[in-house]
Amino acid sequence: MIALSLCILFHDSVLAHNVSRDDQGFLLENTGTSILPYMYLGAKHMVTGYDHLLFLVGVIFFLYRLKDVVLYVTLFAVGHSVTLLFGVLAGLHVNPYIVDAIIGLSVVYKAFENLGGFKSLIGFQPDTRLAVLVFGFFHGFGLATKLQDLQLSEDGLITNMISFNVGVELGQILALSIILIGLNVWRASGSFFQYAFVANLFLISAGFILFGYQLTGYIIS
Amino acid sequence: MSKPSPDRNFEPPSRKSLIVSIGIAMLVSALILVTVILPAEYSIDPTGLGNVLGLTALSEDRATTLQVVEDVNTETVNTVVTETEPMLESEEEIIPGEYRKLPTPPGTTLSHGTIYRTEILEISLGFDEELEYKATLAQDEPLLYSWETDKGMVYYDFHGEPTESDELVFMSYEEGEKNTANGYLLAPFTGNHGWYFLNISDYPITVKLTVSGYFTWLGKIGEEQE
Repeated sequence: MIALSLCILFHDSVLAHNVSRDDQGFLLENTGTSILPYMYLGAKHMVTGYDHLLFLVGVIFFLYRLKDVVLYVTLFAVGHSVTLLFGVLAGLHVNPYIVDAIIGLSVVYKAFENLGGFKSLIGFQPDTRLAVLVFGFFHGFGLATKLQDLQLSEDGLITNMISFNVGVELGQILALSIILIGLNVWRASGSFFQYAFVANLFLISAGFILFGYQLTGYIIS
Repeated sequence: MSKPSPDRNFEPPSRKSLIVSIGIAMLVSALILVTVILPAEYSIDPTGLGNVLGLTALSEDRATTLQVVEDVNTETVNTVVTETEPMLESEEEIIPGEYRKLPTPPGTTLSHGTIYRTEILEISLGFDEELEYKATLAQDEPLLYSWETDKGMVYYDFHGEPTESDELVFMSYEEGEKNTANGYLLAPFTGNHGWYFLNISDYPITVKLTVSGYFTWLGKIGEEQE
């Protein structure tokens, strides 16, 4: 009886919760928009996210012209932004193990493509731009899961989410700059082509390790 | 491959060397996974090498989070309500450089003959679902608690109902909309104390509730009461 009356009482007051009550104090304390913190989290996730970084290394490994770098990175950014925003807004909670396993495979795919594997072993080369876009979609689902783990509240959801997304792009530009500088130094040293094969094999190994690690996590969870 | 510049060129490896190399790469991945990563991350150690290297210790703690201690006999609590004496004062003479003993206010400590109970509950809340979890506590007993949702917000009312009362009454301790809360309660009366949760997010959520104390009962308020 008490429980029932409590339920009814409180349910009614909740229905009116949009309007007033003690929300203000709570908003100050726990929710609302916080642009810079979410931007920071987005950027941090990208800069410290080795799976995204390995994929980016694979993508720009053989890109020499800035125009191409911008094109491919933009495709990747568009891809992951679409699913990041869509995933959070639709409340999709994609299994993070599965997404991270696919992200691991994206690293393998890109390195395999870099080695000309599609041409020589399969005899068919899928569109490289399309592949980056599609894998961008999967990386975005991974980002969405990370953002949802931060216990987003409904208040300021969109602003916080966009802040996170902007942070991701800033982090990506930062990480890319460092990768590009490193690649250029390496290319100038003359040993680039000598070790390009091994470097992409390393990417393939790392991608498979990520894949196996996440797949195992999925199986035992 | 994406447009190598014309003056420099990467010679793609031959079919054979590509197949061999990728095979080696996969073998290396599998080896690292099985010998190092799986033992360290999940305590999965088919080779036994992870144990030898001490890697499995990294992930062993994870399994021991859920601990439920057996029911304990809650002893009656002596609550002597006396007039509160001003603290940090005594009749004793103050000797510089020496510690002097202060009188202990009543209710400062509470002794039990048994270990306290800790329970961790995972409470599923469907969209718009509401329910109550309560603990039965004697008066003046403390209850330490933490709860958090996996995502999203709940409306909650932390309240209690005395069992030794002829009327239907309740006391609300704290209410609001949050995704997590931590604290303690000193039971103002003997009765059932706990949380009403209502899922106000647009999706099903899980509330993880951890409580510690000398409660005699903990659980979901039954259907017959609602």
